[in-house]
Amino acid sequence: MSDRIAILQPAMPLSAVERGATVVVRRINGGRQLRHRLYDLGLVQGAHVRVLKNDLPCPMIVAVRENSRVALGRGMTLHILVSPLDCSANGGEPA
Amino acid sequence: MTAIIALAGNPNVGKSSIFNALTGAQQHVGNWPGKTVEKKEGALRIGADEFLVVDLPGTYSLTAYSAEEIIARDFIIHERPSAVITVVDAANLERNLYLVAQLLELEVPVVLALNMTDIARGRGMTIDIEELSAQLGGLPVVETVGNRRLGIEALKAALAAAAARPVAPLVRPTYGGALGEELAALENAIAAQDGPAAGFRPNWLAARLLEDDAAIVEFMSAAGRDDLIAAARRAQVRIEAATGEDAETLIADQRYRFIGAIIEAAVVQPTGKLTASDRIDNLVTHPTWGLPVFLLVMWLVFQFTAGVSAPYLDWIDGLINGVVAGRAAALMTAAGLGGWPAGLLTGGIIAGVGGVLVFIPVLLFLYIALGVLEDSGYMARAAFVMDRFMRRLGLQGKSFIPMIVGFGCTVPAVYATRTLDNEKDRKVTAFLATFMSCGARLPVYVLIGAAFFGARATSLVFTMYLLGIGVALAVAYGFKRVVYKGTPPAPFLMELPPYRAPHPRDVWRQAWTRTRDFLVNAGTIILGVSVVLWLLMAIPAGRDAGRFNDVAAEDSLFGAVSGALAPVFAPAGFGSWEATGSLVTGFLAKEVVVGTMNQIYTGAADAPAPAPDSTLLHDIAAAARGFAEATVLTVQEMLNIIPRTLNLLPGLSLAEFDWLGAGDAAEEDTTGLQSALVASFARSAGSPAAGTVAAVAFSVFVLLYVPCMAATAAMRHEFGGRWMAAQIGFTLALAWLMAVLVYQGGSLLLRLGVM
Repeated sequence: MSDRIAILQPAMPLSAVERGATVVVRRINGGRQLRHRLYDLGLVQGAHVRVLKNDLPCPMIVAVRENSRVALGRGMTLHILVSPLDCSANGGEPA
Repeated sequence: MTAIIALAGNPNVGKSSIFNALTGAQQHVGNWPGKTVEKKEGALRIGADEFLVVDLPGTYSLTAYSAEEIIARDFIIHERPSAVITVVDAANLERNLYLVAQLLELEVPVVLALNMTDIARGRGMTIDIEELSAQLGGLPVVETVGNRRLGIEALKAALAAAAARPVAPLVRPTYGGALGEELAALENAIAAQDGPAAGFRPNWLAARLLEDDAAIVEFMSAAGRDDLIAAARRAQVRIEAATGEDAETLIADQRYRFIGAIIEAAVVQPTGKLTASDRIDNLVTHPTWGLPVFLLVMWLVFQFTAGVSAPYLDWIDGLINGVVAGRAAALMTAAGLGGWPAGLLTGGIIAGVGGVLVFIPVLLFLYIALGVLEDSGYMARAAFVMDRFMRRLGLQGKSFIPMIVGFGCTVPAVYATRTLDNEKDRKVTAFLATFMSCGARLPVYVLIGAAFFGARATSLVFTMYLLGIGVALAVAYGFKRVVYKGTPPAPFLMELPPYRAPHPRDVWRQAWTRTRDFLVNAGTIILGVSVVLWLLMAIPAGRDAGRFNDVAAEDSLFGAVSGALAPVFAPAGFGSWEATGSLVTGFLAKEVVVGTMNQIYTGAADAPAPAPDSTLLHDIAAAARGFAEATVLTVQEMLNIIPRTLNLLPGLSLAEFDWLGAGDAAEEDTTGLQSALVASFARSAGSPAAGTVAAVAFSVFVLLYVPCMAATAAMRHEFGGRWMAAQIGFTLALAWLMAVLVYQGGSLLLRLGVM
């Protein structure tokens, strides 16, 4: 499988994103079934994702496409590569 | 012919509220043909037209990755419903439209029910409904608030119009670039030869082939079209070379682009806001506070199910074993049927079936509690909180949900494993769920507890629940270390639906439907078992043993067979034919254990008679008074949860309510059975004290051995005969071992004078 997009864009795993930050999904690695489940929940390339919770060792909670809340196990968050959204569009939470 | 309407939608979008609102009380639950996924159907009348509404399983998409998705898809393709209502969560419109896009691709008439618009508005979203409809090619869009029954008439009108003049959707996602070219080529190849195959449309088939959809590849292969499969494989390679992505990713991506354009045109929404749900989640899914909240919720569920349901349980028990049995016996005698027909009715049917009716309140309260957990959205949070603990046992958080359901009934728990993604997790979870004490085991503990521990009966009950959980955890650990070494649990991935106040009507309807279905299913088995059991107990085992219906129970055929098996249980202290016999019938359904004991120990001997001077009117008045008292006690127990919960805090000791005075506990109805039990266990174990230990061992055996026929059948259906056989063998061996351990250990302590 090609990593073309991942190479072109600065990308980091979702697990490294801090609470409150909004990022764009660049690439999803992993098995077909796993990717399929993520697509169903709105997590595809280009989707905006806001991190609501990122506390080790619990799963992460993210807001996908603004209105949907999805809990993701830590293993999975390593396979979702994201890059920061333009600062102007960043919808961080108040305090 | 009645036209069929299908109801499709994501999980947690209020689909069942809409279904209830459309069909009212006329609904029933069955299984999909050949599958054990719940199927709900109901009748709907609009004017002079009659419709059958079929509630499809809640799914996020229509691919071949799960049984639910295949069921939903096959139903739409093969049954060709007159219209599909797709229920959409307005507050989560974008993600929900993903399923709608796939329905459009199936080219069926669709009516969109835009549900939960109140929540969407509360979040500051504005949805232009006319624009949404226009963007979707004029698709009928109806605004609804299902749990408040708003918009249902408009939905019916739209439905009638759509069914009367079915129009296939005018728009659907379009696929461009390399994907689009390959799709068109493949579509032509499919269309060129046979035309639409078995109701599938060529463009839809082409897309599924490119996605490597397992069910469609299999279908094409069976149809002898391996050439098309090969062509699709070549196309996949070309697509990936050209774009760097596989076809499935591109299809998902372009569907979301199609949706994105619609949202852009029809929806205005604030971004970056925290909802009320998010704020609750800050506490409920907190790394430290999540667990105490979870434990508190579980404690409340237990209190509600076991404590609050008790007054009604006592009332029904007294009613059936007292008034009903007595009246029936008197009637039969008066009608000149005093001999074996009266015996069959009171000793067989009423004793057996009555034993089950008694725990309607327990099941009802349990299903209400589970319904509240599900509808409020807390269930998903429980899975979240438990994930890190389940992971240590080689499972993931979602496995916890079937286990909670297992406290109600093992059968739905086995089906609930369908939400898990991998086979190993499903098998292990279903296996563990059988150790969760189901509602049918509860009456056994209640009976034994009352007979041997009197006022401290709930301690035995609680211990059995804890033991079941403990055994499940130990077995899970064993699986992780021995059977599935090195297989990591499936990754945790789950939508967290927004918190909602559960609607009483929907919770009640679901609880009642589940209880009723259980009663109908279990009741049929139990009625049969009761009659057969009565027969076996009436037939003498030998020529000298006695005459039909005039034979001591231990000399009957049933007594003889149970007696032959009994020595197996001698090491566990309950090697009597009576205990063994009730375990044998308990394999059919655990609730039968109590019924059988009732039949064996008290059945023919002393059918309770009503007081000689009591008139029918008097009986009815007494029953009504009993019901009123039970209602008062139920309210009291509900309120008592508060002091009982606060008393868990160290240093607090609040008094509980006691409105009717402590002396009212009407225990007289089962004392006959209870003293017979105490005597029998003391006899088989050698002494009264040892008998008590044997009774605990007996409870342990009931907890752990083969759940019941229905649960075993569900296991076989889901995981095959070998897994079922392994489960029967394992649970029997484990139950026997644990029972022997408890009895021998307890006896040793007795001899040492510790207890």
